[in-house]
Amino acid sequence: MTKTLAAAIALAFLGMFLVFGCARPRLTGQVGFGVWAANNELWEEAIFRWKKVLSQDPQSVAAHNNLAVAYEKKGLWEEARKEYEAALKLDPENSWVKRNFKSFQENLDPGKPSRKDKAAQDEKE
Amino acid sequence: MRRNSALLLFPLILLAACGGGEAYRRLRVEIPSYSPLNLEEFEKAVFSGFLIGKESAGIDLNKEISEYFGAEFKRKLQYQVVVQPVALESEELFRNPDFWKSLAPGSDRLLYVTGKAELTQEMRKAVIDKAKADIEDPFERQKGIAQRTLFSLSLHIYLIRGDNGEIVLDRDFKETKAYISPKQRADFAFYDLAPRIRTKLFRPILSEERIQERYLLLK
Repeated sequence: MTKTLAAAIALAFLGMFLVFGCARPRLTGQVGFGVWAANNELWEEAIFRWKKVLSQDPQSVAAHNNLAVAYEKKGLWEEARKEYEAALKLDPENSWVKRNFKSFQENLDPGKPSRKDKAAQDEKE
Repeated sequence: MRRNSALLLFPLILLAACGGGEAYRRLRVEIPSYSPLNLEEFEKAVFSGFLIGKESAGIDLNKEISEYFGAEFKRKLQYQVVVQPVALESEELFRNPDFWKSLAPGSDRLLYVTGKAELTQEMRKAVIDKAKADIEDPFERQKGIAQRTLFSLSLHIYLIRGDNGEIVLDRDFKETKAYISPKQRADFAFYDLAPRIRTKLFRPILSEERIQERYLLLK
C-alpha cells in the first residue's frame, strides 16, 4: 500500500512536470519571449527581442514575420512590408505568413472591400 | 494489475504532455488604418462638386454630399469647409494637376474634395412560396410576390492638394439598402447610406484602429 502510494505520488509529480514543461507551446528563447511580450501589449520589448534573434539568425522566418506584425501595429508600413517580404522569401509556402501579408495588403488598400465587409454587405442585402 | 496500470500511465502522460505543440499563436491586435495624407498639412477643405451619374428624383445629390460630408470634415478634422463648385466636364479632369493648381494659385494648405456620385433606385420582386411544413399546419401556404425598393449610393471620392494638384486619396465606395416601402424617398435613403460611407472614408484618413487577426510564429 505504502509502495503503491509512493509510486502514484511520484508518477503524479512527474506527470505535472511534463505537462507544464511540454504541453504549452514553448515560450523559451527570444522568439517566444517576444510573443509573450506582444501578447501583453509590450510591443517595444517584442520588437527588441525579435531584432535580437535576427542579429544572430537572419534566416529566422518567425522573427521576420513577427517583426512585421509589430511594425504594422506601430503604423510603420514600409518596415512591415520589408519584413513580410523577407519572411516570404525564406519560406514562400508558409500559410501563416501569407495570411498576414494578405491582411496587411488589404489594410493598405481599403478602397477594395475586404471579404468580411463584402460578406456583411451581402448578408444585409 | 495496479502496477501494470501505473506503468502504462507514464508513457500516456508523456505522450499527452509532449505530443504536438503549436507552431503559431493567433493574436487579435488593434492595427491603425493606413493614411495616405498628413492631416496637419491642410486647414481648408473645398467641396468643388461631384460628377453626377444617374440620380434619383427628389434629391439634389451634390448639395446633400457637400452638406453632409462638409459637416463631417469640419467636425472630425477641424478644417474650414467651403463649397466652391467648379465645372466638371469629364473624369479626366480629376487627374489633371494643372487644372486644380490653377483654381487657387498659391494656396498650399487647401484640399479639394471632389469625385463622382450616383444614387440609383430599383424595384426588386421575388416570388414567395412557403413550403408546406411536415407537421400539421393550420395556416394556409403563403404565396405571393415580395417587393423591395433598393437604393444604391456610389461615391468615388478624390482628395486633391491645392498647391500641386496631386491626388492624395482616391477611393471608391458603394452602399446598398433595401426597403419594404415602395414609396421610400431618395433623400431618406441617402441619409441611411451616407453614414456607412463616412465611416469607411474617415477610417484611412484618421488612421483609425481596427481589431485584426495576425499570426505570430513560435518557431
